[in-house]
Amino acid sequence: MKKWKLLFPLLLIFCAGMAQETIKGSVRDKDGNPVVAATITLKGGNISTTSAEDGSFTIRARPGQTLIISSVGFEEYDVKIGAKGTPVAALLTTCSNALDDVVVVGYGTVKKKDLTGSVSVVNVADAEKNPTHDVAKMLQGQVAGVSVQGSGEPGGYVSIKIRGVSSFDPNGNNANSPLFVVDGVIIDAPFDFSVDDIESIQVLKDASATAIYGTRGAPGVIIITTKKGRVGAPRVTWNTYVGLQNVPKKIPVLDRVGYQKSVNAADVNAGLTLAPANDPSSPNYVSNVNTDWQHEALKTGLIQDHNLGLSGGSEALTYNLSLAYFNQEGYQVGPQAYNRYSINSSLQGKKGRVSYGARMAYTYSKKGNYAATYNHAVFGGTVTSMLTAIPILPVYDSARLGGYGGSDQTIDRAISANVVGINKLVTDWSERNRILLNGWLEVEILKNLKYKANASFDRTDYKNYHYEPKFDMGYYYLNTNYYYHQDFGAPNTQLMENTLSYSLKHDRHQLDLLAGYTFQKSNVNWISASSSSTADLTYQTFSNATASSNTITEYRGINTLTGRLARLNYNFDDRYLVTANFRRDGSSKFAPSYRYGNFIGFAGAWNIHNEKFIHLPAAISTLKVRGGWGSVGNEYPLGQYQSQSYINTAANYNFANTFASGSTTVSLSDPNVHWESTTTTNVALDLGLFNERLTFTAEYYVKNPKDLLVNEPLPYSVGSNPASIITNVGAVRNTGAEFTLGYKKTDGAFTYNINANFSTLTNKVLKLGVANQPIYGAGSKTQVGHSAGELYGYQTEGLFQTAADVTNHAYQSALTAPGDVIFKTQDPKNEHNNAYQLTDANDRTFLGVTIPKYYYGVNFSANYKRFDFSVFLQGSGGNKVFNAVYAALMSGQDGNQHKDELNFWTSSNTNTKIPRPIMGDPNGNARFSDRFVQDGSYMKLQNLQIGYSLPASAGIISKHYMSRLRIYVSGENLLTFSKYKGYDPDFISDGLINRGYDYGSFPNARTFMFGIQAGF
Amino acid sequence: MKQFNLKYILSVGVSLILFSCEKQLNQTNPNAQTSATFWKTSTDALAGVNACYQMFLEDGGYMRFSPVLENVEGDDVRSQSPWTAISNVGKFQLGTADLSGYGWTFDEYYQGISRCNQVLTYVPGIEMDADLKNRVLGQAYFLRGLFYFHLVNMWGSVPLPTQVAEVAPQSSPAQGWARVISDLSTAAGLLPAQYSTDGGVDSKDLGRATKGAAMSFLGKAYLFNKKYDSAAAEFKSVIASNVYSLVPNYEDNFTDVNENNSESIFELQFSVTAGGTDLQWQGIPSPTWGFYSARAITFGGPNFGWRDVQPTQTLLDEYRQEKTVDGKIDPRCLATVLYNDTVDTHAANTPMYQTTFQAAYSSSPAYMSDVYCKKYENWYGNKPNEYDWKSGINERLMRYADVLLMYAECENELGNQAFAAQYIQMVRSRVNLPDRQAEFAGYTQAQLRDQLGHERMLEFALEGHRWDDIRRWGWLSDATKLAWLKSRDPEFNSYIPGKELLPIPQTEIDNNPSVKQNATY
Repeated sequence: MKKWKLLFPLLLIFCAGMAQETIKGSVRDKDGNPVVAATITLKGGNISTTSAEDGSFTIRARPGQTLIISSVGFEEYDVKIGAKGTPVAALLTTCSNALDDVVVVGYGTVKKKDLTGSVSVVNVADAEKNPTHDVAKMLQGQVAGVSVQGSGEPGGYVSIKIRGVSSFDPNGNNANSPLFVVDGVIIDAPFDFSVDDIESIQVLKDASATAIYGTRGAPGVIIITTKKGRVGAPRVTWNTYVGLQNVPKKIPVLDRVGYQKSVNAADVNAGLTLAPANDPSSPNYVSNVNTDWQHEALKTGLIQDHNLGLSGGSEALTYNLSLAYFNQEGYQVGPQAYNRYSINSSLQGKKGRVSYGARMAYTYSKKGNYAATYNHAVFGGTVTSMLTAIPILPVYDSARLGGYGGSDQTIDRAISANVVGINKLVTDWSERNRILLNGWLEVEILKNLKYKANASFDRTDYKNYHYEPKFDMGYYYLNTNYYYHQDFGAPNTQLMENTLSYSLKHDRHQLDLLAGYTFQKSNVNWISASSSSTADLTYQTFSNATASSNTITEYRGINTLTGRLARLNYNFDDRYLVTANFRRDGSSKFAPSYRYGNFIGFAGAWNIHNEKFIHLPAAISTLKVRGGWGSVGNEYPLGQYQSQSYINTAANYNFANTFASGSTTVSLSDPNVHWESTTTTNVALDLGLFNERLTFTAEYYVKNPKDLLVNEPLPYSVGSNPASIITNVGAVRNTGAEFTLGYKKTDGAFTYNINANFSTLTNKVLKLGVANQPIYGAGSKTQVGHSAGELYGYQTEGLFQTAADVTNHAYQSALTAPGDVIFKTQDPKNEHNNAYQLTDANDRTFLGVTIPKYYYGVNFSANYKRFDFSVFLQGSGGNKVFNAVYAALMSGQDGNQHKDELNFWTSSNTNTKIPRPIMGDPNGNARFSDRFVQDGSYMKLQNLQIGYSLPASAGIISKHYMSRLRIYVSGENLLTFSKYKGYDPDFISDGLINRGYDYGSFPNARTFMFGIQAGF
Repeated sequence: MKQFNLKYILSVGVSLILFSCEKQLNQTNPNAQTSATFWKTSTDALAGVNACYQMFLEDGGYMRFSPVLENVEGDDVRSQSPWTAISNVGKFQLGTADLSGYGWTFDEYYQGISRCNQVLTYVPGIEMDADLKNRVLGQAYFLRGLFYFHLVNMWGSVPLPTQVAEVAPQSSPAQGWARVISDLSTAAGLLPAQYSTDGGVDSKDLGRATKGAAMSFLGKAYLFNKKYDSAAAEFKSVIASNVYSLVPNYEDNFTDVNENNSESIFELQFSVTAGGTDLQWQGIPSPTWGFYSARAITFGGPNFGWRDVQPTQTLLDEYRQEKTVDGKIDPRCLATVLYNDTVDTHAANTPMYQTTFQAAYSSSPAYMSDVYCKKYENWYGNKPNEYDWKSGINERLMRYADVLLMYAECENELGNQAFAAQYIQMVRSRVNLPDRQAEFAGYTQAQLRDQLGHERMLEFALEGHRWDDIRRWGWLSDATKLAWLKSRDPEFNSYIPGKELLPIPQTEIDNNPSVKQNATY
C-alpha cells in the first residue's frame, strides 16, 4: 500500500491541467470511525487513491462523476460528486457475508470460505436494532437454527437454544443454553454485559465446530468478539436511545356485572348461597366498585440505553473503553426496574513476536422483581393474578394494613391477589456486581509456531433482597409476620488455557495444527439469611430483627474441568478442506472411574467452484458442499458433588419443645453418573451467485444427544426426596433443515439488502430411563417416541345436554350434570357404559407438539441517500400452547373470568362450548384438556426503523467536531399475527418439559423509541 | 539461545500446569458428610431415628394433610374449601390427575419409611450401648409400623419396602397389615415403658415412642383386622401397665398447655419455640425449618383461619343429645366445636381469640349460624388469629381414652357386653355424663355397637377416628347405614364403593410397574 501512496500523487500531478478539480472527501464506517486505506476509484476511469489514517482523501475529478469506494470487509459504495467545493462523505457498511471475512471459531479464526463446520455469522447491525439488555434476545430470528423465548419482564430471563433440546436439565440450571465465549473466555450469564460492546457474533452449531469446546459445547457455542481499538487518534462514539414501552394487547375480562353473573351462577349450580358481595339482597352487596385491573396495574414504561466509547492507539497498544447504561422500567405499576451500569475496557498490541491483550469489564446491575410473597402464593404470578383479580375489589383501602384493597373471606369468598399492592409493599430485588479480568499473551516461538496463554477470572457478587412488611390484603393475603431475606454469593470462575498452534503452507497445501490444555475452576458459594416474626422491623437489618427469628444457611463448593484438545485443518488448493478435532475432558463432578470423556469430530468441504475440470456458469461465484460428524461432551447439567449421596443434618425434631437433632440420607444419588455426549451429523451446501450478490446456504443436521442426565422419576415408595434420581438415561434426536439467504443490491443512491433465514426442527425422545418412564409436566408428558414436553390431557367432546347423556357416558363424577364437559374415553376399559367405568388419568392423550416446527426471520434494510430504513419480521409455528391463563379465566370459579365465560351453558343456552360454571368444579371441567390448547404459531413485525445520517456539511457536525451523526426512530414488536388468545405467543417457560405452558409470562412490550448514534 | 530458553521455560511451565491441574479434579463436598461415612456412633444412631419422627411434621404428615385426609370424609366433618385437594376428599372426588395433598402424604410416609429402613439397616452394626441401641431400633420399628399403618389403612394395597432404596412390589392389604403387626410387635419388645426412668442420652425425651404406644397401635391394628382376642390382650396390658390415666379436663388433650400428659400415649411434637422460623412444608430439610403445624389455620373458622375443614351440624346435634349430670351441655362439645353456643351455655358470648364469636360474625347471619373447628385451634390463647400459619399444638395420635373404648369394642365383639360397659362409662364419667354402665351392660351386642359409635364420635370428633370407624364397621356397604350417613352429611351422596380408599398417586403407578390403581380411580 505504501508504494501506491507514493504513486498516486504522481498520477495526480500527471493529470493536472485537465478540466478537473481536487475533490476532498472522507471515508468512515457506520460508527463514524475513519476507514483507513479504502480504495477510491473514479468510475469509468482508471484514477484511484486510498484514504489516509483519518479517512480523508483527495482525488481529481469533475463534479457529477461517480466515485466507487471499496475496502476489505465493507460493502462497495458509489457516490456522485456534488457541486464544487462539496466534500464527499462516504459511509461504508460492513459486509455481512464476504467470503474473505474472518470467522472466529474456537481457539482461532478461519476465513469464511475455508469453513467446514456449521457456523453462522450474525449480522450484528440487524440484531442490534432489538432494544434489549440480553444478547440472547438479540438473536431472536437472526440465525437459522437458533430459537429464543423471552418475556417483557425488565431484566428478565431469556431462553435460547441451538438446534433443539440437548439436555433434560435435571437441576434446572439452564443447561440447554449454548455456551457463550466472549473474547476467548467462557462466560455464563452474558446478559450482564452491554450489547453495545459487541463487534461480531458467530454461532457454532455442529459438533465439528463445537467439539473444541468439548466440556460445555453440546448445546452449541456462541462466540462473541467485543469491539477493539484501532490504530489511530482517539475516537469517541456515542450511541443512545430512549423508548416507551407498553403492553400491546388487553385481555377481555369481565367487569363487575359480568363477574357477578358468572360467579353467582357457579354458586347456584353448586347449591350454595350467593356470596354477600354478589347478592343484591345482601347489605354487603357491592355495586359501586368496578376495578379494571389491567388499567390499574399497567402503565407505560421507559427503556433507555446509553453508550459512550473511546478508542484508538498505536500498533504496540490499542485501547477501547466503553461506558454503558441500560435502564428498563416495567410496564407494571410498581417500583420495579432493571438498571445496569457497565464499563468495558480492552487493550491489545503486538511487539515483535509477542502479541498481548487484556480485557477488564465491570458491571453493576439491579433488577427489581415483581410480586412474590413468602407465605402467600401469587397464583400464576403477577400477570395471571392481575387478570383473575375480581373487579369488585378496590385497589386502595385505607382500612386495611398497608392501604391496599383485598377480598373478604366471608363477604367476597374469592382469593384475589392485589398485584398493585403486592408490587408496592413487597421489596424484592437482585443486585449483581460482576468483574471480568482476562489477559493473554501469544509468542511466535518459531516461524508459524505460536504459543498462547489465556487466563481469566470472572466473579459475580450478588445479593438478593426481599422484605415484606406485615400487611392485610384480604383473604389469604394477610401477612401477620414481616419476612426479611437476603442471599449473598460470590461465585467465581478461573480459566487457564495454553495452546500451541502451527501453520504450514507449502505449494498448494495449507496445514494448521492446534493443541492445547485448558483448566477451569468454578467456585460456588452463598450465604442466605432470613428472619420472620410478628414484631415490626422498621429498620431492615438483621441486627434489628428478633434475634431468635434470624436463620442462616450456607453452601460452598468447587468444581474443576480439565481439557486436552487438538485440531487439524488441512486445505488443498482451496478445493479440498478437512478438519479433525479431538478432546479429552476431565470433570471433578464425576467419580474417578467416570472422570474422563473423549470426543472427536471430523468435517470436510469441497469448493466446487475452484475445480478446473468443472465448468460452472459464470453467474455462480461459489459452490461448496460441506459435511461433518462429531461428538461433544457435557457435564454442566450435573451439580457439584451430585455423584455422592450425603447426610442431611436438618431432619430435626423436638421432644416436649426441646430441640433434637436429626440426620439421615434424604436424596438418592447415582454414583455412576458420567459425561453426556452429543453426536451431530451435518451436511450443507453454500451457493454464491452474481459475485456473491446472492448467497444461499442450505444445511441439514441430525443432532443426537445421548447419555443425557435425567431426573429419572422414582416411585414414591422408594422414599427419596426428590422422588427422582439423576442418572445418564436420556437420549433425544433433533433433526432439521436450515436455509439462509442473502441478497444485496446497489442501484445508484439506493442500496438494499435482504437477509432471511428459515429453519425446521423435529425433536424426538429416544430414551428416558431404565423402563423409559415418561416425565410428566404441567399438562405435558415427555415420552419416548414423542417430542419433549408434548401437551398431554383430556380430549373433550362438547357438553352433556341431558341427564341421559351423563348416564350413557362413561362415569366422570357423581355430581356430573348437563352443562358439564364430556371427556373422551381413550382407555378401552373405560369405554363401556357402566356406572363404575370412568374417565380417569388413562383417558388422557397427547394434545400437541409444543416445540415450534419451523422458525424464520427476514431482515430487509435499505439506504437511500442519507436515509436508511429497515424492517424485521420474525416468527415460528407449528406448535401448540397450553394457555393456562385462559384456563384460569375460564374456570367458572370465584376468580375473575374471561369474557368468553359469559356464554356459559344453561338449559336455555345450550348451543355453546362453555360449560356451566359450578363452584368446586366437581366434573373437573377445568382439568387439562384441549379446551385450553391453542395454536402457538405467530409472525411478528419485530422492528421497523427509519434513520437519517446528517451530512458532514451540517452545522451541528462541523461545529461539534463530529464525524458522524445518525438519528433514528424505531418501533419494536409492532404487530403480532397469531390466533393465540393469550397476551403473547412468544412467552417464557422452562423451554423443556413445560415448553408449551403459558401461565402468565410477561408479554413482550411494544416499544417506540428514538435514538442517536454519533461519532467524534 | 534466547529462543531455546523461551521454549524450555514454556515446556516446563506447561507440564507443571498439566500435572497440578489434574489433581484438582479431586474435590470433596465441604457441606455435608457423605452417606458412606455415616452410621458409626451412637450419636449417629440417635440422630438417625430422630429424623424418622421429623417426617410427621411435614405437609403430608400432621402439619396439614394427614389430619385433612383422616377427618374430612367422616360425617362429623365437611369441607367447603376452595382448594379441591381438600374439598374433594370429603366428596370422594379426588382424581388421579392432581395428586396435591394425598400424594404428598403418600410420598412423605414413604420418606419416613426410608429413614426407618436406614436406621434398621445400619444401626445394628454400630458398636454402642445395647439398651440405647434397642430403644433406637424399637422406635424405628414403631415409626415404620405407624407409617405402614397409615398407608395400608388409607390406600390398601401398597409396596412394603424394608430395605434402603428398594423398589418393592405392590402387596395385598393382608400383607400390609402383617407388616404393621410385625413391626409394632418387634417395637413393643424393644421399647421402654417410659424414658424418664431409663437414663442415658434420650432420657426425659417426652414424645418418644414407648412400649405402651407400640402395644396400643398393635392392638388397634388387630382390631382393624377383627382379631379381637389379640387386640384385647394388647389393650389390657396397656391398661394394666398403670402408666396412663384420663386427664380430668378433656380439653387438655387439644391445647398446648398440658401436652404429653398422663392420657397421652403417643403424640406428635409441634413447637413454636424449639426450631427455626420457616414453615416446614416439604422437600429437603433445611435448618431454618420450624416445627409448626398448619392444622390450626387450615381447620380454623373464617376470618381466623381458612375454614378449609369444619364440623357438620350433625356433630353439634349429636352433642346435644345428652346433657351432663348437672344438666349442662357435654363439655366435649365446647372443646371441639366453635359455634354460637350461648343457646347451650347461657353465657353472654363465646370467647375466641381476642374477640367473641358473636362479635366476629355479627355482620353475617350465615356465618353466625355455622359451626367451626375448635379442637386443636389456638382460640384460647393470646393469638389474634391463625394467619401466621404457626401452631404449636401437639397432635395426640393415641389417647388412653381410645385404648379404653377400643378395649370395650373388643370385649363387646367377644360377647362380654357387661365387661365392656365399664370402660365406656369410664370415658363418659370423665366429662360428667350420667352413669349408664348398668344400662349398657344389658345391651345386645348390636345395641352396644351403636352406642360405641355414638360415644366414639363425641369423644374423638376431629381426631380422624370417625372415618376409620365408619369403614371398619362396614357402614359403607350397609344400605341402611349409608343412607343414614347421607342424611347426616350430604357429602356421602357422591360416595361410590371403592372410594373408601384414596387413589394411589399416578407417579407411583408410572414408575413402579407392579402397582395397580385402586378400583374406581
